[in-house]
Amino acid sequence: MPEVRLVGVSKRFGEVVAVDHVDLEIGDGEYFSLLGPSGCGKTTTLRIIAGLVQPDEGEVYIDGRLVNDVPPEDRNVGFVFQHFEIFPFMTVFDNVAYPLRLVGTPEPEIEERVWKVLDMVELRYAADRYPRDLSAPELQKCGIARALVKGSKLLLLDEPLGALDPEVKKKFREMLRGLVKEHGLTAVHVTHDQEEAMAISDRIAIMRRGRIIQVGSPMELYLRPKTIFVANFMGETNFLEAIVVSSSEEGSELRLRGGIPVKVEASYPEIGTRVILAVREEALKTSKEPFDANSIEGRAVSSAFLGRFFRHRVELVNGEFIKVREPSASSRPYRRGERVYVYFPPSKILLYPYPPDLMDELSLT
Amino acid sequence: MRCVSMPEVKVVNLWKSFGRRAVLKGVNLEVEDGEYFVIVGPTGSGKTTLLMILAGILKPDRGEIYFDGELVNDVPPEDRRVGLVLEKFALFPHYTVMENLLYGPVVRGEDLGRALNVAKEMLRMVLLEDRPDAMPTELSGGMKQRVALARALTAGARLLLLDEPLGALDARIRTSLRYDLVSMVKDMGLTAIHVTNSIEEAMEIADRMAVMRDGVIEQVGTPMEVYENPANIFVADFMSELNVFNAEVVSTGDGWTELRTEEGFTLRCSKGPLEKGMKVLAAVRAEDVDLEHGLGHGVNAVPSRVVDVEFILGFYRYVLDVDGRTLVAEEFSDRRVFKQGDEVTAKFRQDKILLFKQGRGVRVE
Repeated sequence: MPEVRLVGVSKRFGEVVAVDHVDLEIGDGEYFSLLGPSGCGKTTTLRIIAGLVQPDEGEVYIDGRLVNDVPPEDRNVGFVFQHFEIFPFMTVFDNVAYPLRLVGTPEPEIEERVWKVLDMVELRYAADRYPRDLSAPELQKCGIARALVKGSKLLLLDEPLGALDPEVKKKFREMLRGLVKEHGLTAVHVTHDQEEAMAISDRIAIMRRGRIIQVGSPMELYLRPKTIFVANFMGETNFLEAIVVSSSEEGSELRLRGGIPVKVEASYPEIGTRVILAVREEALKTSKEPFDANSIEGRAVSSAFLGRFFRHRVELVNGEFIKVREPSASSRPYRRGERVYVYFPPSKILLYPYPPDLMDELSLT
Repeated sequence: MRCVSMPEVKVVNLWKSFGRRAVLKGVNLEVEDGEYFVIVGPTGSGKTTLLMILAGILKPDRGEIYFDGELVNDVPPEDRRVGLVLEKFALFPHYTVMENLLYGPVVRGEDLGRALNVAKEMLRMVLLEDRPDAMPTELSGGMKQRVALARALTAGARLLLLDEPLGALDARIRTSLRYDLVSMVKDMGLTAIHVTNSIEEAMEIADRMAVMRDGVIEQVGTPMEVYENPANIFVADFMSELNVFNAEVVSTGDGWTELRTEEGFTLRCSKGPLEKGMKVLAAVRAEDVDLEHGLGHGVNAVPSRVVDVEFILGFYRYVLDVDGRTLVAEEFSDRRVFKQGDEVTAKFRQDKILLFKQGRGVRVE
């Protein structure tokens, strides 16, 4: 039985449709993320699961039980906020104990439960400290402990890493995923950061404008993005306009702008139609000499050294600009204007029908 | 006439405290004319305070600030010809884009006709020439950020000071806009000082960067210089994900040193001769750890078990366990070679092992 199920859930705020007919199933024990740009409806969806927002339409099930009319405090969910929402005038212990005291839990039981969740997030040492003496990660651990103290197995996290420094995030997300997996919890995590979602999730739902565009494992979304928007949102992708010249079981031949031929493995039966060719920046390879006919000539615009990678920007002979990311161990910086060939691996190229509004598909909102 | 070789911005021995907390502790800095300079460091390192002192909004306790060779300590902010761009854009919400741009010149009583021409030109540069009458609420985050930039430039700034200018944007928009931002600033021939807590952002856009910690500049250089030759373990750890070992020199010679870690691993690096018996911190970046199937061990090779696997945009990140100690390895591939529970050998690349002195963590030369 799925832990969380949404059926046809919609929510309007005035004229704005924040959540538009969302169907979703999140399995027991799953680490699930809602990923999308600001304003896509991911936080509203999370708040609907929590019971903090009432949907206009649709049903919300938790553990098989219809909870539309169940108030938040009776849904047995723990909610974690981006900005911690910790009371500044209480110690860590008292902050974590707060939800229990609110419902009149006996003190001995409070003691036992608070210490247990403080151990789960490794914050026992800070029990007597006040929030002003805590670092950002410690504050968020306190928020997570408080969310878990009533024994909730379902953790709802709204941008839980949003207020942390980038370097701290990596360790924190590892801790968070470990916590959920080790204690058999289910997590629904809202974020706009695709790298964070990929690293932490079993599955991800990509949302845009109130709708779910695609659901899948990080790898599925990465390898088989259903739309141009998803391909663009999940990392840096190059998009080029092309015409299909021929196509068979073995693959297709395309022409880019300027008549440049490119072979791809995907078949695309509609000969003569305009398509969008998508290829990830890390799938391309640069070289001084062409590999084969799928190497396209260009001139280097810039090479940024990113530590593990170089990111090269190249202007192809047809005037289109593309970016290529290569491991620094097997690459080098190019001088501006230096001639360089960019190899398009046929197996890594995705094709999409030319959309009615390309600029809109490519916008990141 | 100004001297060509004179740095645009020079800061000498700058100190600043808030109450008893010293935020800047003797900062020295030189930024060249036309340079895109990035100050990067964790929250609380003093980078924003430094920027606010350059803008004239905060006064230093001690030290000198020169613009173009001229001491500006006592020059008020409005006479420094700097443009300040902040994380939250700080646009006036009830004014149109054009009114936002003209606010400064109007308040200062400048010639309105001239200011209007400059404002139009700046809107053209930031690709918003068709939106002078838009209200800020109608604009996307990226557009607002460009308006903030145009406003800073309309005031006639030659030096741009940017405090987390992309910080309020979605992660994905942030990565796509930073290149555009820098290209725009460079095309206009401006000097920029950009503050961020993201090392990834710093590396992609900086001509040179300063890594700050605790009120002190730890290192200045191009991204490649700082990455490849970190001055100390803090900088190395900030720039990349490290595996760090407490180790002792057991034998050494010309261009090689053998170390024994406290876990009992044998490491061999391409540095030497060093002092025998010397205690060091040996560090290996995650991307410099190669994995092989099977439990091999020996010099620079450690038998371990895969505990967690993350796939992040073109590479796999493996968390490994060696008798309770954690190691991290990254492999550039979109095929997963190892899975949770696999027994693997973690091999460290000999020429990539970094050594630091115990204590303050200064790099071993």
